[in-house]
Amino acid sequence: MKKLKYLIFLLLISSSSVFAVTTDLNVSLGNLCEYVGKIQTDEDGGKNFCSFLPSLSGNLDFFITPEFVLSPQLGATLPKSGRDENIKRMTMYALLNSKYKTSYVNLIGGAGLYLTRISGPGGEALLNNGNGTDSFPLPKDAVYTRNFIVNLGLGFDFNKEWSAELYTYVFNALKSEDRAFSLGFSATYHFGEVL
Amino acid sequence: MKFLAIVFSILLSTQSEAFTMNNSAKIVFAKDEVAVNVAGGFCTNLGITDEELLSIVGTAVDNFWNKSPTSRLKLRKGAVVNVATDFHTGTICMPSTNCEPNPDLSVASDILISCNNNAANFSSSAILAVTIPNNISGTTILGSLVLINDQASNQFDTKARNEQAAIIAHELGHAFGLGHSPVQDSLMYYATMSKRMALGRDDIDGISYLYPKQQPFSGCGTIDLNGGDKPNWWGGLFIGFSIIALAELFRKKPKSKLV
Repeated sequence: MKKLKYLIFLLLISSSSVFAVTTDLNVSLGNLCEYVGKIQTDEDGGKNFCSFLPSLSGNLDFFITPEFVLSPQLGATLPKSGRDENIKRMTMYALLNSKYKTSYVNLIGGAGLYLTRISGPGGEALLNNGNGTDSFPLPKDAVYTRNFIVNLGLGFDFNKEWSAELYTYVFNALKSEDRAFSLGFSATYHFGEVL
Repeated sequence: MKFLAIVFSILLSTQSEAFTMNNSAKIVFAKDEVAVNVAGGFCTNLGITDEELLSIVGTAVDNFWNKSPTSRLKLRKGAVVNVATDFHTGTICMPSTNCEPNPDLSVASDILISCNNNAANFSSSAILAVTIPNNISGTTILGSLVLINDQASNQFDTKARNEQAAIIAHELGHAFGLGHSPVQDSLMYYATMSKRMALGRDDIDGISYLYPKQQPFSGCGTIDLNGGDKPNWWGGLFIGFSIIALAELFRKKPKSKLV
């Protein structure tokens, strides 16, 4: 508890002094590979690596120093069907990243919330029940799961306007039993200091 | 109440729908950790000891349901428990009903797995197991019962150990509220698969729908310090960071003049 208070104190102190800084609004478009190696995809025991799941995010970089950047990020993936077309899934995330910039490469680290929206059409489905068929209720209302995730990544600056990022979202980082990794890559356009 | 949860694990055809639930009321366990116990001394024809069955249960929960990253439900390997012989010989449903649970087999809490040899439960040797949440209060499951086919002609004991674990995991899915999935690569597909290694996408969606994870806190501003979610200091740190960043974002800046 003492540690936390100390950290918050440090943050408050720093917030009052360091934010007279330049900013950079940038937008990223990419693809997210969810829960790599965690999901069975066929009858032979094969597991997933990457599937098409476009992601779009907006970031606002605060240059605390020329090398160190704080970068709040809001993003979402394209709403998409689940394994079955009746299930709709969408994810949204709000992260606070920090970046350490070298001449071309940026080290990215951060954390945030990852929301998954799951919804279905309602009604019932007639499904095989082993010795015949039976009606099973389908999900109806939308449900949101909320994960606290850690983000680790690398960025590459091509020029002033364009960069690319590779990143890893770590779910349940401190619990090995349900830890999972999502990998993503994106291309980013930098608008510069427009705000 | 109409129970739809008598579910069997054998082999046949396919259809196309989404993950489903056992019951239209969306019944779930209220707690986040549910123990899976084994009824001792009943597995006479399966060729496995109680401890071996408990070990298979451990594999089933660890290799399947507990790996879902977006679900808060955790199943725990319980213990071998002594229960009445009705669990070995009784019917899971009352006769001549639409599967009204047999009150003699009511499970007081958590999930109980028992070997059972009643032919009314297993009309075919291909039926490996049957499951029903049989102690329900409103929309809350208090206890669920899984019966494994322990007739002399059962096919459970012919399966490899990893497939037995997958069968148990499938039944546990019914025990905590899921119905069947039409998707063949899902654990909750009605038929067994020899190379079932992990949850399918539909399974993760299903358990997450019933038991959504709510990090960093368990509820809207509530922290249960008595065994529920523990406060997550990293979450607090993130929220603090976010507030500072947002405050700065909306802080008015003096406009610079062009010279």
